[in-house]
Amino acid sequence: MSAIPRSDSHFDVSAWRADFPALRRTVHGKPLVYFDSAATAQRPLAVLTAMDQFYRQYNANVHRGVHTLSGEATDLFEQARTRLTRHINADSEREVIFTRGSTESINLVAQAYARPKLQPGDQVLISTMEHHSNIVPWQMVCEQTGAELKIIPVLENGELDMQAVPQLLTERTKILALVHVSNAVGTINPVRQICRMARERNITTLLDGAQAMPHLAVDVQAIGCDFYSVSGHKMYGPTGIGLLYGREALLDAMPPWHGGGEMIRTVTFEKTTYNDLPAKFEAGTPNIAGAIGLGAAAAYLQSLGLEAIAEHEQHLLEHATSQLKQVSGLRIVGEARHKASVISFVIDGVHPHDLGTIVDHDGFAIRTGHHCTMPLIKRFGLPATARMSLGLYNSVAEIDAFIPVLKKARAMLV
Amino acid sequence: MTASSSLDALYQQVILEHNRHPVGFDQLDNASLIAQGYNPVCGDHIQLGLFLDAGGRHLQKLGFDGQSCAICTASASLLCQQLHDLSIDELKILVNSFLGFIKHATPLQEPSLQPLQVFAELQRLPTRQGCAALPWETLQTTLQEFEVKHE
Ligand SMILES: Cc1ncc(COP(=O)(O)O)c(C=O)c1O
Repeated sequence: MSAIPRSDSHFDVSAWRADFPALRRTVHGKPLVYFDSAATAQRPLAVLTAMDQFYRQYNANVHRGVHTLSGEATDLFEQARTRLTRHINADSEREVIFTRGSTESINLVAQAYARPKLQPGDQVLISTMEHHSNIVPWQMVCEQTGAELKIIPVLENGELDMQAVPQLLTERTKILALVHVSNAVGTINPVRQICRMARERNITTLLDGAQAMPHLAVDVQAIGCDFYSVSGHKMYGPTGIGLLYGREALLDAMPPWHGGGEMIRTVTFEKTTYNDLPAKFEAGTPNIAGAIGLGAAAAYLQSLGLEAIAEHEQHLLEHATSQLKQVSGLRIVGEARHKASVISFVIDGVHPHDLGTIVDHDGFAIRTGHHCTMPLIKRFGLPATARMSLGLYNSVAEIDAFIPVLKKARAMLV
Repeated sequence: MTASSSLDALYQQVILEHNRHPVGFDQLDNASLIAQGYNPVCGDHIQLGLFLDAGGRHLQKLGFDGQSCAICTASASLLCQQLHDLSIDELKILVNSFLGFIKHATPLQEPSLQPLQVFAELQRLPTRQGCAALPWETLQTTLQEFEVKHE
């Protein structure tokens, strides 16, 4: 656990903030208040330093050379994998594949796992809450195989309609692909329960964990999923790197996806044999510095303590929720009982896009639009929302400073 | 420019007033053509109605509808206010001129487009150019399709 001092009223976040150089900058002459961590988080010095050090001192290709640097680079790369394996409590490093991010991880499963398996009439079950990256790859594979896409509805409060789930898990359902934490409205889905229901019916599960990783201690074995996707940049790591966790038995049985170097054992023109896991799914020179940076991000989160982070963020969530409700004409979209610190809202007479521009001029970075979840935003009958997503470095004072800016925007436009 | 003055330059009173009381809004009934405009970046959706004379070569007036931000709404409103009783060829020139003004900062020469100078601040704000451009691009696309059909 962390040794961060706590003040009487609430947690003093200044020591954590000091780890993030980007937070020191100004925007339009105002101190930056970064409320857009769900789009991409800022990176702590620990991550920046790990990557910088790699390029300055150890830079070499991995798994290839006999020279010293290559050996050192390989060690750092594989140490990162080991750290991440522990971070999500996978059974072994063989189950942890480096990808470009959640999107690539889901596409890998759709193409290398689902595509060979799915038959016409089979069903893939997703939900209304999915990010486009957990919709489109399934639409593509359905198109390719003749399988059908089925959708778990979302209730008015932003929770999954759990009563609808049993009927949707049919004999024809082969895959359930579900977001763990919604990037648009913050809902934390009951993934253990749903994975158990799927397992009882022999349905393979994939969880899109892009937004869960920065907020929750994720234990893939306790959750009981078959696949789990991770984006490095949402969990304070670099862009262009992520993970696919997959149960070894499933990954082992899958054909490779991309072909190239690294993923082979021997190549002749007559026959190529493939490498073992995880290399089988890592064709080409990987994002070595990215992987090392992601390992450093996991180490950083552990050094603060995921419980301490969650406690701080829940405090921010409660405070922000109650403060936002003081703004007249403001409505929060999605009020699930279990939420991460992501809040979507709309203000009567104020289009989110205008709001985003207006608050930017006071230094506040928020996201506006459909958040790559068009079906969900449409479900709420809206074209767009404004989204405030709070990370470990945000403070109560920043939230308090935001409220008058929202009121000003409303006064200006309405 | 300070933050608040650049914000004031963007959200000029004229724009705010057009956003509150848009010209041509909700006036699509009996339009000769209805064009759909969509901004995939933000999800904004507008419909533009063209009222043409019987020959189809002359625009009487425009109307619009939809859900859009203040910049887009004001832009559509000024479009409806300023562009009417024009030949299709005249219309095309004006549309191209406004889009050039927003995206490439080419000066607005035409007298009928002078009120659109209120969007000049967008030239420095690429993230919002698409908002003002949407109604005009919608019209541009429709005019191109219309042209193909009538050639
Ligand atoms: C819930 C969720 N899933 C998937 C993704 C896609 O992640 P990436 O763009 O890093 O592949 C995102 C990113 O916005 C997300 O929020």
